[in-house]
Amino acid sequence: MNTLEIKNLSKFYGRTKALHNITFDIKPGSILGLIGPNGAGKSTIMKSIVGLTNYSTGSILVNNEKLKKGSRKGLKNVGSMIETPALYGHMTGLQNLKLFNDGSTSDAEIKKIMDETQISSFANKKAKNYSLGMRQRLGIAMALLNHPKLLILDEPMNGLDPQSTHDLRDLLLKLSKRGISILISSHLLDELARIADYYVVINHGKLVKQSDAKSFLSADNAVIKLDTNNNDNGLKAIQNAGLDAHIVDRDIEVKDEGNALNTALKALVDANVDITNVQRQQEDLEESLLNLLTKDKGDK
Amino acid sequence: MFTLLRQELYKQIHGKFYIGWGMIMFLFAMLIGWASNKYNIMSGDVYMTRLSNSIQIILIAMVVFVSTIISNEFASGTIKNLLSRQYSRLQVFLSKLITILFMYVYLIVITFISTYIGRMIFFKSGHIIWKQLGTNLGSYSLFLLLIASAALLISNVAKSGGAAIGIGVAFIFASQIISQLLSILVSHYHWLKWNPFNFMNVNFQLTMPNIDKITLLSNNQMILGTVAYSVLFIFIAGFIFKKRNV
Repeated sequence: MNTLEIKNLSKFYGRTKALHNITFDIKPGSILGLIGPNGAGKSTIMKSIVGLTNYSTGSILVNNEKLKKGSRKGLKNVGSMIETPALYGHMTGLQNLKLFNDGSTSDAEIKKIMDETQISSFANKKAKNYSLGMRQRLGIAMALLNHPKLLILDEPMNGLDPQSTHDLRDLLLKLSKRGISILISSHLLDELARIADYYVVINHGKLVKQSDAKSFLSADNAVIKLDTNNNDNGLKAIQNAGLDAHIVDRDIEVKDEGNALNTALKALVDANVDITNVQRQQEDLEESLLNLLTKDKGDK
Repeated sequence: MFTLLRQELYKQIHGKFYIGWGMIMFLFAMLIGWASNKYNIMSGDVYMTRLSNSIQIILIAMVVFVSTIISNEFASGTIKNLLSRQYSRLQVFLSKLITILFMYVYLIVITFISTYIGRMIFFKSGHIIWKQLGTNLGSYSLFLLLIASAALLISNVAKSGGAAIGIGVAFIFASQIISQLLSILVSHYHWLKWNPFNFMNVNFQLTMPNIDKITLLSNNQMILGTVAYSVLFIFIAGFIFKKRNV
């Protein structure tokens, strides 16, 4: 049973279609990175799941409960932080936490959440005096109340310093190991790449691509970079061996597919070209996303 | 629903509204009691049955409270925390309405106790004319119901708490002026007696003689109309609340 199932989700603002038949799901204990440019529709998807905005057509199932008007039982085990964390400034961090405890989280569990999110040191100060990073951490702590099975986090790493970002990453991985599913959006793609099991790419309200993290990065764009004592001759030898190769930044760049590395090395040896450096490079998430969005733009 | 109510009360207990306005009510009752006694403005019985004339202060306090209880949540974004859970928007709205009722009862109780203390201190008597007190309180409660429900409706579309308070308080004064202007027209066009501003005379009509000749409504019509308009305003406010995107 999936923790979250979204089927053909569409949303209209007047005559403008903001979401186009979005379909994806999240398995228990997995982390799904929702990525795309600003205004792509990521927050609208998240808001639709938690009922902050009404969707036009499609269906959303959370913990096997269909969410519809008048029936929101599925949201009982959903913790969320959408856009910026919303706090009551006149209350302390601890009071904000206690406020949203529906009674199912004990004081000991609240303390554990405070320790995990590292808010204990400032939990007794008024929330109106918090920095953005402190607010983010308290917002995440609030999302962890009431034993969520699904966490929905919209840009949770915004405003966090490197250490806090690292700690949050560890916390999210720990939570996923406990079986909590996480839907997360972030513009910090390097960070996302370290934790996400799956990606869903949204652009102009449409689902452009969804895949597991491994195949998302290795699909088309891994390359081998070779430096030799004679790159012109080396390039000809590699191309004659039937490989897709070019000179990029003075290196020979060969598309890394199949047995490309062995074939390229053999071709260079046979052509008496000395190899001075070999590097295997995989495209990172940011490059993959940019390529994908450029391709999506070109398709239109 | 109980959880929502508990949360609303928790927010109030950790806020300044109840303590601040409670102190204002107490000090106002003392001031009026002292002045009434020293300058012979009103008798001890009138002081008590009119709750030291503090009802007007309660009216302003409640308009401020009603105007901000929803608009502040939208302005600060905290509404997201309330609406992104298993509770329906109707339940959240109802919890707000019940909290408004609790706050009104709280202010009335504080005012009653303060006025009673003032009567004991400044008029050396604890006598209360319960029937008159009940009539005054009932009529003002109806008036407040109408004003507060209109303020709730107006504040539901306001973007910030400050704007909502401004509009709400301005509405109190504007509505009384409009009500008086329309009462002139009512004598010429009888159908105008059903306009909502005419019902803002409800407290006068139920406590003073001959007002029905101006409003052209019986007491029962006045009470039913006031309740009907209030329910309509609350219903529209709830509808807007339900449809509003966050």
